[in-house]
Amino acid sequence: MRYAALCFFLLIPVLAPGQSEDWLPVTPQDLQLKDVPGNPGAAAVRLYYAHYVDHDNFSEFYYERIKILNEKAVNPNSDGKTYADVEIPVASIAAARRFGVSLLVQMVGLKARTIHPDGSIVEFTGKPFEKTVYKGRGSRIQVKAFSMPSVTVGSIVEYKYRLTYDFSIDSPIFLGVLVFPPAEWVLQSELYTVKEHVHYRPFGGGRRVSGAKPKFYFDGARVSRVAFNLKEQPTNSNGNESDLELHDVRAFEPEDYIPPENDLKPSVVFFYSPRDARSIEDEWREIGKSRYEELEPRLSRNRGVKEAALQAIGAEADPVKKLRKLYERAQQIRNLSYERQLTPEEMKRENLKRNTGVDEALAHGYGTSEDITLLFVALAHAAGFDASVAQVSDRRQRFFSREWTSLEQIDNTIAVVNLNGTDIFLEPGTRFCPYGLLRWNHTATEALKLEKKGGVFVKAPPATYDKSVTRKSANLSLSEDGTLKGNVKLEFEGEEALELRLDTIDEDDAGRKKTLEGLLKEWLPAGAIVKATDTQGWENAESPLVSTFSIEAPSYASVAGKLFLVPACLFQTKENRAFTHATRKYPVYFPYSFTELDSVNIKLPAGFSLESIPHHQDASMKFARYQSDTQLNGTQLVYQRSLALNGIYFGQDKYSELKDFFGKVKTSDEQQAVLRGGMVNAQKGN
Amino acid sequence: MLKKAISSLFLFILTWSLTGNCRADAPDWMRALARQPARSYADDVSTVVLLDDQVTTVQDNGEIVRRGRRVVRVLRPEGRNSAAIYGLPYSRNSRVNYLRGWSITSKGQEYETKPGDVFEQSISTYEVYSDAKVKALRVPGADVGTIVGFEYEQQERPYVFQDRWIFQEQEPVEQSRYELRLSPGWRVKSDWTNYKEEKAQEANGALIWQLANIPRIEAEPHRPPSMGLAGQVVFTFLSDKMKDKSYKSWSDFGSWYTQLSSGVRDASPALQEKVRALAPANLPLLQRIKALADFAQHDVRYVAIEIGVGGYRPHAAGDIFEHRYGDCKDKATVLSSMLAQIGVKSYYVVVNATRGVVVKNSAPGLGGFNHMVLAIALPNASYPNAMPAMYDHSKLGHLLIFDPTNDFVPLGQIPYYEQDNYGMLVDEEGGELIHLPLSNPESNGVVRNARLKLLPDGTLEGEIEEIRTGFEAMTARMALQNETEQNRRKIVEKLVSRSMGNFQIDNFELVHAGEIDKDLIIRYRVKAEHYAKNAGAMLLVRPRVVGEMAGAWDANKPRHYAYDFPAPFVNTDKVEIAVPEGFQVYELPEPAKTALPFAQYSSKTEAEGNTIKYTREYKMEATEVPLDGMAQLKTLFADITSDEKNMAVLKKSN
Repeated sequence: MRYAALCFFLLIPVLAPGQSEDWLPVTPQDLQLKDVPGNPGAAAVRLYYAHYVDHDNFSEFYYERIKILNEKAVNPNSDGKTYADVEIPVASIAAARRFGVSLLVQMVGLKARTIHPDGSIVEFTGKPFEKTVYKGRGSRIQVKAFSMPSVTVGSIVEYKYRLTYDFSIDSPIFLGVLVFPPAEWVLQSELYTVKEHVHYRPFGGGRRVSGAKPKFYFDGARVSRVAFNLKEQPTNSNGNESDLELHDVRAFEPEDYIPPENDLKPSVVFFYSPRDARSIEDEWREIGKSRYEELEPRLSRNRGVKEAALQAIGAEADPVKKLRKLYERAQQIRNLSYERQLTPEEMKRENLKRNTGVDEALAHGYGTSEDITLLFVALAHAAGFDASVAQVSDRRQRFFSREWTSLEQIDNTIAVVNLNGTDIFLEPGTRFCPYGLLRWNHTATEALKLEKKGGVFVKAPPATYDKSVTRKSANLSLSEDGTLKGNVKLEFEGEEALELRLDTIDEDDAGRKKTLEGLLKEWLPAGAIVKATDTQGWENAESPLVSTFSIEAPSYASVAGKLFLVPACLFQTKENRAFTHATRKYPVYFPYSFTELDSVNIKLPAGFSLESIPHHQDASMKFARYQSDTQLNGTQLVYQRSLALNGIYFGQDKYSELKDFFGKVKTSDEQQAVLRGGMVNAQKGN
Repeated sequence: MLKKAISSLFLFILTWSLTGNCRADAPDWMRALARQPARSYADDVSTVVLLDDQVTTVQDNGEIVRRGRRVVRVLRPEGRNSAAIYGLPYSRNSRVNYLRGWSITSKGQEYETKPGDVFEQSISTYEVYSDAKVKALRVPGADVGTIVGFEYEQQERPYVFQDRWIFQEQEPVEQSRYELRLSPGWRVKSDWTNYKEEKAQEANGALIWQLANIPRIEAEPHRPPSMGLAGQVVFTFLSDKMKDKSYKSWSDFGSWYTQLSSGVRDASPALQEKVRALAPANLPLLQRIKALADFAQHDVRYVAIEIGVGGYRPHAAGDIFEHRYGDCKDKATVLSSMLAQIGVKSYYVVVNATRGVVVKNSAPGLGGFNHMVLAIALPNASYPNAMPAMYDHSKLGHLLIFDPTNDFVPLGQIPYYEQDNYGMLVDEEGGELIHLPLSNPESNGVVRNARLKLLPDGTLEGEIEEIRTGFEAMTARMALQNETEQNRRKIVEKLVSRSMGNFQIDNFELVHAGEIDKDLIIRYRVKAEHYAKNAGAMLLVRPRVVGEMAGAWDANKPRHYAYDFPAPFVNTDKVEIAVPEGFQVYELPEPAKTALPFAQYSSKTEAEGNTIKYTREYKMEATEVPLDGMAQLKTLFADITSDEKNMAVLKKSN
C-alpha cells in the first residue's frame, strides 16, 4: 500500500527567480538562422537548452529548442534517432523491494510544438506513446516517445517537460547512494548551443507533502560543486542554489584517441558533503577515515591469515620475494568479480556466500576483487609489512579532481606496501595483474591511502614504456611469385598482456586464437592468411603471453621490370589512425605507454642479387623513439625495428609534432629492398 | 541525474529479479537430451540446438496455437548469453500463454524458472512506436556444457492463415520437428525453400515433419542474407469456411492488400491544394510527377508508428500529409494519392529491402517483405529516354519504380538493394511477383582522375577528382551529404589514409551534393610527403595512388555461398604522375589483365615523356557470383590487390 501511495504525490514546484519555464519568444534571428557559426553543414542547432535540477522538489525540468538545418536532422541515424522524434525515459521500479528501495519516475507537463520558418506554430496535441524497455517483477521501465508535427528543414522544434521522482528507502545500505546521485550539468552536446540555462537547487528539507518522505542521513549536509572545463563560474542564488547561463557553446565532436569525454565537455557536478568539513583536505581525510573504518572490521576478522602468510612465505627471507609470495597467495583466491555474474540461485547452489572478513575469503577460497585486495593487505600485515588499502580513481571514466570530494570518484581498491621507505603499488584484486604492475587505468593518478587517522594522497606511478612490451618476430620465405610464407611469434608483456588476458577472459582457446589472429591481421598486409598454431601463458600473470602463427601473404613482393621489390617491414603500426586529420580539436590520449620490438627474417628466393636496401631509419621526439635497420645476411633479409612511446597525454600543441613523428614511422615502415635477377614473375603468380 | 538513477537501478533489477528463488526440477524430456552423448563440432560453433520442436494447432475459428520446446547446448563461452535467453514476440493479435525454462549444467545441477521471471521488452527498432513486444526469459546456470531448455505456448489470431517453420539457423540444429494439427475442414499447402522437401508422416491425425543434423548458416563476407539461405517451409492453411484469410497465390495476396489499403489514398482538400501548387497543369507530365515525387521523398519525413495491423496498412494520405511524416508505405501512399490528382495511376510494390530474401520461387506470403515502393504508370509520350527504373508490364504498360523512402536516389533510378530483387505488385486485379529492373554496369561506378607531381624528395602533390554515378553516388551521399564540411573532409581523409600516410588534403569540395539527379563529384588537392621511397639512387613510386577495388575476402575459411555485389558497375582510374626533374623512368610494372565471365579487370602503366600514366578499369556485370565461380573471384581479387601494390622505379638521370 505504501508503494502504491507513491503514485499519488502532488508536486508543488517552486521556482527560483529567473527560472522561467514558459515558452521563450521566437526571435527573427531564430527564424533566420541557417547555419552554425564555424561549422557549416551542421544538421541542427540547439537554440536553447534549460535543465533545472531541483532536489528539494524531487524533480528536473528540461527545455529543448532545436532548429532543423538539413535533412540529416530528421532522417534516422544508425540508432534510429532524429531531432524531430523524442524519447524520454520514465520508470517504476519496485523490484528492489526486498532491499527496501522503490523508485517512481514520471513525466509531467509535456508541451511540444513546431515553429515553421514563417513563424506559424503547430502544437503537438497528441499523447506520447509508451515503449516498454523492460517490464517484470513489478517493475517497468519505459520511454515516452512522440514525433514533432509538420517538421521540415528550417523548422524549429521545441519541447519541455518535468521529470518527477520518488524514492522510498527503508534500508540503511542504500542511504545516500540512491537518494541523490551526484547531480550534473553537462554543458556541451553534439549540437552547437546558442544559449543554455541551468539551475540547481539542493535538498533543503523538502517542500512538498509526501506520505513517504525519505529519511536522509545527510540531513543538513553542505552542498558542494566542482566545475570541469568551464571558464564561466555559476552564480549563487537563494543560499545554496546555483545558476549558470552560457552562450554559443560549440558542438562536441569526438576524435580518435581522446581523453575521457567527461574531461572534455564542460560540466558541473553537485554533491553533498558533511556540514562540518573545513577544507578539501579535511574532507578527503574524513572520507579516508570513514572508508578505513568501513574496511577495518573486515581486515580484523583475520583468523588463519597469519598461518596462511607463514605457509606462503616458507623459508624465504628476502622481503621483496616474501611480498611476492603473499601476492601470489592472494591471487590464488577464486576472483568472482571476473566471472559471469551469478544469480542468487546459482550462488546458493554453489554455496557461495558474501565474505564478511578476510578470514572467510581465505577459508572459502573465493572472493570479490576487493576481498582479495583486503586479504593481501591482511597477509602482508601478518608478515610484518607496512601495508595499506588505497582507493584509486579510474581514468577510463574521468581524470581525478581533488575538488570533487567523493568516494564515488575513487571507487577502485588497490594495495600500497611501504618497503624500505618506498611505496609499492599492487593490484592483487585484478585478475592476471602481475606483481609490481597496476592496471593502466589506475596508473598516473592519485590514490587515497586509507589510514586510521584518515586518508592520505599518494601518486600511483605511471606505466612506463618498458611496462608494456610487444615483441613480434617472424621467420619467413619469399617465393618467386612474391608470396611470403612462414611463422610469426607474438609476445606480450606487462600492460599489453594484462589487457589481452582480461579482454579474452570469457573466451575459450578457439576464441583467444581468433582474437589473436585478428590482432595480427591488423599488423599484416591486407589479404594475409593467418592461422594461430599455439598460444601459451593465458593463466600465468607473471609470464609473457606467447603465441605462434603460420602466415601467408600473397603478392607481398612486387615486380617492376627486372626488379623485385620486397617491403622490409612486415608489421605496420596501428597508431597512425590517430593522425589522419590535418587538425586536432582535443589532446591525443593513449591509455598507456608502450614498446614494440620487431624482428623479421625473410629468406629470399635463389638467384637474386641485391640492388638496394633500406637505410637505417631513426626518428625521435621528446617522448618517442623509432629505429629500424635492414641488413642482407647471405640470402636472408634481416630487419629489426623498435618503437617506444613514453607518454600518454599530448596537448593540441604537440599534435603536429606527434603527427610528423608517426608519419615518419609509417614512411620508414614502407621502405623496400630492391632485388635484381631470378625468374621475375611475381605479377603472374596468381 | 535521473537517467543515472534509472540505469543503475535497471542493472540492479536485471541482476536480482530475472531469476527468482526457483525449485530445480528439469523435465524428463530435457534430461533425456542431456544424457545423449555430445557430438563434436567445429571449434567456432558456440551453441548447438539439440531440439526445436513446435506443435501448431489450427483451431476451428482459424486461431493458431503453437506449443514448442527448444533445447540448446552451450559449447563455448561465447554462446552462454544467447543460449540463456529465449524470447517470443507478441502484439495486439497474439499472446504468450506460458514460457518456462530450465537448465542442466555439466555438473548435473538443475535450475528452473518461475512464471514471474518472464519479462517484457518492446521490439520496435526503427519505429517511433510499435506495439510489437517480446516476452522473454533468462535461465540461470548457462555455462559451457550446460543444456538450456524452454517450453512455451503462443496463441494468435492471424491476419493471414500462414505459418513459417524456419529450421536452419546460424548454429547447427540436431533435431527439428514440426507437428501440425488441423481442425476439421482445414487443409494445408506447404512450400519448401532452400532445402529438399520431406514428406510428412501422419500420426493420430497430425502431420509431422522431422529433420536431423541441419548444418548452420556460415558467416561469410558478402554472402546472401541469412533468410535467403535458411531452410524453411511456409504452411498455408486453407478452409472453405474462412476463405478471406487463406491466400494461395500472389494474386490472392494482392487482392487482400488492395482490400486492406482501401480508401487510404483518398485525397484531402489540403493535399489537393498542395498538388495544384507543386505540379501545375501547364508543366510537362514528367516534371509534374517529379515535383510530387520530390515532395514525398524529402518533405515527408520517415517516422514509423505501427499498431496492430498498422504494420501492414498505411495511414490515410490526408493524415500523412498533415503531419508530414510516415513510414515507407505512408510515403508511397501520399505520393500515390498526389499522383492520382494529376491523373497518373500508381501501384504499391511490396518488397524486402535486402535482395535475396524474396526470390523468384518464394512461396506467396507477406512474411518475407519489410518495405514498400511505388510503381508509377507512365504514358509513352511522357518521357524522352528509357530510365533504369522502368519496368515494362504486359498489361499495365511502362511502370517507373520509385522509392520515396530513400532520399538519395532520384526519380528514374531505384536503390541498388531493390534492383534484381522481387516484389509484389498490387493492382486492381490482385497481385503478382515481379522482378525489379537491374541497372547496367555503366550506370554505376567511380571515375577517378588524378593529376599529380612528384618532387625529388618523394613528395607527391596534385589534384584528385572522383565522379560517382548510380549506387556509388547514393552510398557516398549517404555518408557525406548531411555531414558538416569538417566531417566530410574527415571522412575523405580516412579513406585516403588507407592508401598513404603523412598527407594533407586541401581545397576539398563536394559538387552536386544535394542535386541527386547529377553525379556526385569529390575533388581535393593532396600533398603526401615521402610518398615515393628512396632506394639508393632510385625512387619507388606506386602509380595506383588511392582507392582499393578488391572486395572483402576471408582467406582463412573455405567459401560456402555465392558472393553478392550491390549492383553491376564500372570503376576506372586515370592517374598521371609527373616525374621530378633529375629523374627518369627506369622500370615499370607489367600490365594486368583478368577476364572472367562476370567481370574484367585491366591496368597498364606507361611512361609518356616525363609522365607516368596509370590507367585501370574494373567492370562487374553481376550482382551475384555463384559458388562455382569462387575460384575465379578469388583470382580476380588477388590480381587486383597485386596490381594495386605494384611500383614504378625512377632513377636519377646521369
